[in-house]
Amino acid sequence: MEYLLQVRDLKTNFYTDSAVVHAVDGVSFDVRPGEVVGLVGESGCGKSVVSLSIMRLIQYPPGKIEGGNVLFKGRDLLKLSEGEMRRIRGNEIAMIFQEPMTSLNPVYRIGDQIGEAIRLHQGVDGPASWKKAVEMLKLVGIPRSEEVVRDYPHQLSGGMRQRAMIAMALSCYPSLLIADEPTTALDVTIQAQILELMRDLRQKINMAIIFITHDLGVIAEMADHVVVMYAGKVVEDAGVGVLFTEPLHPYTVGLIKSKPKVEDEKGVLDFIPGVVPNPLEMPAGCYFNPRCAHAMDICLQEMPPVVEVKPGHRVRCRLFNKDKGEAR
Amino acid sequence: MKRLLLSIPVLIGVSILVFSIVRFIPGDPARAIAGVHASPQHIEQVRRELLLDEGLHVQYYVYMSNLFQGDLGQSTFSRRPVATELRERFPNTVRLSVAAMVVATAVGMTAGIISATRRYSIFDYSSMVGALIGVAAPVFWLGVMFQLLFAVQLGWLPSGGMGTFRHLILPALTLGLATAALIARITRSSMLDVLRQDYITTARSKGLIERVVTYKHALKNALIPVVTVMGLQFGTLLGGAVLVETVFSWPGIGRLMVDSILARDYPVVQGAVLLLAVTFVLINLLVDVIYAFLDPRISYGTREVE
Repeated sequence: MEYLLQVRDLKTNFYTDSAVVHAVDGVSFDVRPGEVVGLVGESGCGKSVVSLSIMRLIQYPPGKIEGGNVLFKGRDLLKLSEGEMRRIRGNEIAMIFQEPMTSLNPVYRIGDQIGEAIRLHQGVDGPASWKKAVEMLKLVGIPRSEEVVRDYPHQLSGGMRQRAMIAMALSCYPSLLIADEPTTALDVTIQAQILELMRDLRQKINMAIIFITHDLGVIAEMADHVVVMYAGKVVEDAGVGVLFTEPLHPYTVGLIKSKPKVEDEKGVLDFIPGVVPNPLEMPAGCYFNPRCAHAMDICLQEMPPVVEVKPGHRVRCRLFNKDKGEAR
Repeated sequence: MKRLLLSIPVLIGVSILVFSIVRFIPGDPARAIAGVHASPQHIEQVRRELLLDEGLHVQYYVYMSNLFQGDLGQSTFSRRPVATELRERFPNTVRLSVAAMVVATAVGMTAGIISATRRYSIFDYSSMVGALIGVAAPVFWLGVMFQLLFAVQLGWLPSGGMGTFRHLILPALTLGLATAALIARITRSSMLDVLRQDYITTARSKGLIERVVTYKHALKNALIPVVTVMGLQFGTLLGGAVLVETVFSWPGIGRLMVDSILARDYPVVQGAVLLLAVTFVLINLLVDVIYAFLDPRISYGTREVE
């Protein structure tokens, strides 16, 4: 099996009273077994919607998956029954979220919450799942895990809670973990510890990770392959080394330039002019054209197709199209 | 424990309030007791007997010191101890209010949960319109309408009095409906709020079935505001009991109070209001205890987190 997960032309819309928002608009990417794929983009570019769509956790109303395929181990998740999908959730694909403060249920003990998935998917009884929960807490490096397992979430610090979330997600040894900004809400030192932990555990249980973040520093550290999203579309994807040394899409170039560097002595950060377009008023043509220094006439009229520049390096930009338009 | 101590000043305040309100009602109780044709001397004698010629502070002092000895005074009307009167009537009111609360909780929470999980469905719309009507309809009107429909027109249930379980149905329904409506609305909004929380997505991402997500993960969190409202509603319920007991000739505290007010029977009115107030305070104490049970983040001094 070459690919663990293949997302093809995924489309998820949100319906409001007056309009339709194409939050995910034809996204495709692949994940190999054991690979860490970074999904990067600004807030609101649809990266979290991609992850919830893979898990089929988009709530209708207002959201709905309208098209595409999500092939996981050869099966299209979008075609499974709800019951079959539930056997995959938490068991073969698990998820952790940005806010460890709010992603654990405040009224149940840590052990109950970790044990729940174990009882559900592995058919073990209460005491056994409790013991397993203690083991998992040890695995993610929580000291005094026999006591912590009896604690409520509010008794733990943010870093400890995120460790507990990871313990919960890994309790059934999933082959794919979707981590939606897992370190964004944490202190820098705690961030480093959590990243270290995730790298370590990935080796131990050989799972693939879809790592969603807007932090390129984290991507550089964690990812093997990077998918850059802008306004619901993939604009570039490449191996992590290639992406940082030879970024092609003007958006990717801007992102990398706007990353603060220690050796930078100017004291001023580069930035991408303009803001992410309002999803209700997307510009015609390429969605990035209002902010792009290289925009050509054709960019204002047509959405550029994806071009494979080199094997494994794809970009959605006219600049790299063989039949380039007229320069402006 | 701290909560228990805090309720003492509340109760003292209540006693002063009750005491003063009754004193400021226009009309002379001495004249009412002595009768229309009594001589001024007789009225004067009754007044002295009731300490009405003393200052208010003296009256309050005497009232309170008797209260601590368990003496609520004597009905000026029936000449029986107030405590006896209350003891006879109170269980009836409790039975009515508890039945009403059971109706309200069962109907209200069920409707609220279903409305929240099937938002914008026909069920949601119709139950929320029903809840609006339930909140808006005055209790006495509702009671009379029920009597007309179920007792007079259909003849299914007795129109008033107390005795069998059948006698309980209409008054409990009348009294509970407004509370049911309120509970339904609070449950719905609280559930909708909780269902948006991240930990619900976490629960779903574990592969739990929707029923477990709703009833285990969402409901326990959503209950906290509902329990608050239920505690506060008990006060309204006890107040509503006054009307419902009158409409359905239910021999509870509420009717006793109405009758006593009409007869200017101070001691009984004082005793009844005080009893209702104490009940209300105790119920809210109970609500606080239920909070701590529902939400581990709440602790009252004694079980502080390290």
